[in-house]
Amino acid sequence: MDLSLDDLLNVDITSVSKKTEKRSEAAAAVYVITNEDIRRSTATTIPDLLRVVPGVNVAQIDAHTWSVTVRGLGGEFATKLLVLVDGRTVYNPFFSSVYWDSIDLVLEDIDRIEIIRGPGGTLWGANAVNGVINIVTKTAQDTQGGLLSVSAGSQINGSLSLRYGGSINENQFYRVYAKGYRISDNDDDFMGNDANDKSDQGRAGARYDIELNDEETLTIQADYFSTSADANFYIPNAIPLPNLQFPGHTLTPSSKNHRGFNSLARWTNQISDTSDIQIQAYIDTFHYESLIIDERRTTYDIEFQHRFTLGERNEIVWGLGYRHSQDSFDMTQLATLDPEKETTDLFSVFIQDEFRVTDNLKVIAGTKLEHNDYTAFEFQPTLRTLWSPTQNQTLWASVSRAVRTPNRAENDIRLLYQPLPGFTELPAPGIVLGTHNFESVELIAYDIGCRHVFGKKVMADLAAFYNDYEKDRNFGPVANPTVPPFNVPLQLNNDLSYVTRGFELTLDYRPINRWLLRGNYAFIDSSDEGIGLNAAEQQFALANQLNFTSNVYADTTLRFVDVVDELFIEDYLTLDARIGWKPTDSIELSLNARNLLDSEQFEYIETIGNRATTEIERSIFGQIRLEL
Amino acid sequence: MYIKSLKLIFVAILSATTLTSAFAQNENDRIIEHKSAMVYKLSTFVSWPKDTFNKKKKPIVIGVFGNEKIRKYLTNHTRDVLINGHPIKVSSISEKDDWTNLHIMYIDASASDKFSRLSDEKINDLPILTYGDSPTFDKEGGIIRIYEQDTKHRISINIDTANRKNLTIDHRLLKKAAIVTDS
Repeated sequence: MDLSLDDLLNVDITSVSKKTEKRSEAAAAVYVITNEDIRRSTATTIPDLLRVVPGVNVAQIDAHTWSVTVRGLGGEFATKLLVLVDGRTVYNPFFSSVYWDSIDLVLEDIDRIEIIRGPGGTLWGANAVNGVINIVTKTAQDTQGGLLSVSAGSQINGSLSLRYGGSINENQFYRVYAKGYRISDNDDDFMGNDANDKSDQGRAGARYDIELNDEETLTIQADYFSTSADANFYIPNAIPLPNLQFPGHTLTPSSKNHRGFNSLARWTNQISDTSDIQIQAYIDTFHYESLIIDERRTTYDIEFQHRFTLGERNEIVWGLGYRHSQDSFDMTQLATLDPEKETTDLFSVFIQDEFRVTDNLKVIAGTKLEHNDYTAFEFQPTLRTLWSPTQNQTLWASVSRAVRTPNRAENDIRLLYQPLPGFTELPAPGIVLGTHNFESVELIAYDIGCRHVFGKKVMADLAAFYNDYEKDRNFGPVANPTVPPFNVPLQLNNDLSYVTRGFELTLDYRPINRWLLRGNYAFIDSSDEGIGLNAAEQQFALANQLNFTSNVYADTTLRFVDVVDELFIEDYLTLDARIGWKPTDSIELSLNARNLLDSEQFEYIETIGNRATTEIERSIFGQIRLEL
Repeated sequence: MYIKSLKLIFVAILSATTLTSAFAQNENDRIIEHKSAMVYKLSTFVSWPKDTFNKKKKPIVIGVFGNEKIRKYLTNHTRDVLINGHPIKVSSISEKDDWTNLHIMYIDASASDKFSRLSDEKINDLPILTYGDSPTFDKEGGIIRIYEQDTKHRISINIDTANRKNLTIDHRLLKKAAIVTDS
């Protein structure tokens, strides 16, 4: 009776068990960050929200750059992870990675973030190798009225989000938003120099939803963003010179500018209770300019999907897709591409059948067939099974093949490279050369999982995996007459094969309605001692959400991240805390603290591109949320 | 060092948990409790015509039609709360009872057919705020429908019916609802 109106509408009325039942319909390791989780988090960015997810490795490189990966193999340009925002792929085909600074939203308007650990190639396509992160925003109807969110404190100099949602009539809804924030510098980089990593970001957008009739809906949305950030680089010298800060490198302050625009339209037709069609198209264009990369890219994408039942036991989904991408690269101090301009096309078709063998056993089989300009046809099948022996338990298993197709850099780059001191030593600066013979990285993944509800208040979700990689990226010395005599030519190749294995565990405990405890643990290691995962072997998070009263909330997250030997990163324990107070239904005030246990720490060392990693500092900030 | 700290914190949290009083709930009880809370809370955003209450302390009467668990929960949890300054009285009602002295009605889905059949005759346009959870409740004479969407409760409000009954619904509640009209 004490809950506010907003809280009543945000409470999950289904208990942990039923939420598990919904999750139990997925024969995969799925984790969902809800809007409530976001509201009660100290996170101010999407990567920060992902830190508590088991199996997701998030390390902050500097004030505005992150390494985000699933099941190891981290890096600013980590490959093998597909990210989507409202169905739009934000995976960049240049480095097969994600520019995380371009992915930001009014966090209050995110409905959920679904994280699928393991291959998702059949439904999501190539490059969904280790996982898929699917960010889904609320509909325009669910974001009516005004929202003002202001934050200020240490590290976050200022953040302002404004959103207004309205309706034209009972079938047409819209929202518009604008967001801007400034992040201040951290203190020092890993060499003890000033970090020089402050960042300004701004974005705006709109969404329009219309119910055309009882069966058809149309969504149109568009966003624009612009970011400007400083960064230090330790630039390798093409010719080694004396009297530098350390041999072979020069400290070079620089800046990064990134701006872009995207627009998406999605039409859905609910033909019947057992059949629906969806057509989606988007355009995405951006310009990313830094010391290493100067990239312009425009992508056009159109997809069709049809879901229907066949008989009483089969649910079939099939679809077609086409993506056209045009890019243009300007030469930088470190890299050139040949050719400077390129156009690529991707065609795909997929089909998946979910067959209900009995009421509590189903088998899912499917495949995606793609044609890309580098390796022609790629085939990504999957076979999954899901068994619910009791109402409280679900067991699932899967075997899948996924590929990470070659990217533009691997084919066409010429990159000046000199590892930092302490890493692999080269006698002279290297020149990394792309190759047109680069093949797709292949993964055969074996996954197994179990979900169990104990006594209505406790839920456990365990997933284990064995990933067998073939033809992963590596580079090694090779003779090349086009490389200057005082540089070491390094050819990109596909000769890395290895296995990773591990497991992830989530435990939810709700002792009373007002209190949720959630523990997440993840373990990963490699079969080969020489393979560096660039990610911690063990991670643990304990999150607490407690409603002291109907309008006072206390939320904490304790996280432990293990050592990363290959990057010389020590283990660390962090504690984030938030106290929230809603004096009325329309206002929420909160005091947030991040990294209470340590004033600053290193989370990652970037070894390619020589970006100066900075110590991530403790942050304390206040926030006001006002609903108008 | 960090692992030791971790263990200590973990033990502290577990200890606090075991000392905390807890009550067992099954899935349905949770929904019952939540619906009851919504009936109370949403009613605080509604105004009745000025002449409805001739005394300040006149209780707001809630009639529950077809769900004894909700009736019980509301009775036990509204003893010490008010709606717009009025104490609350909760009773169970049937099709044979007089409905005209009610201010709020909750109609369970199991009783919605009876409500549809009888509402015009028994209450017509009297200022009675009605809640229900049947799929067509807001299209068949009801005002606020409570329904499940994903894992949460959502509401739809028939503003034409509310206006006919001279009930004023606060804009803050209307913002949170799907608006339904008679047309």
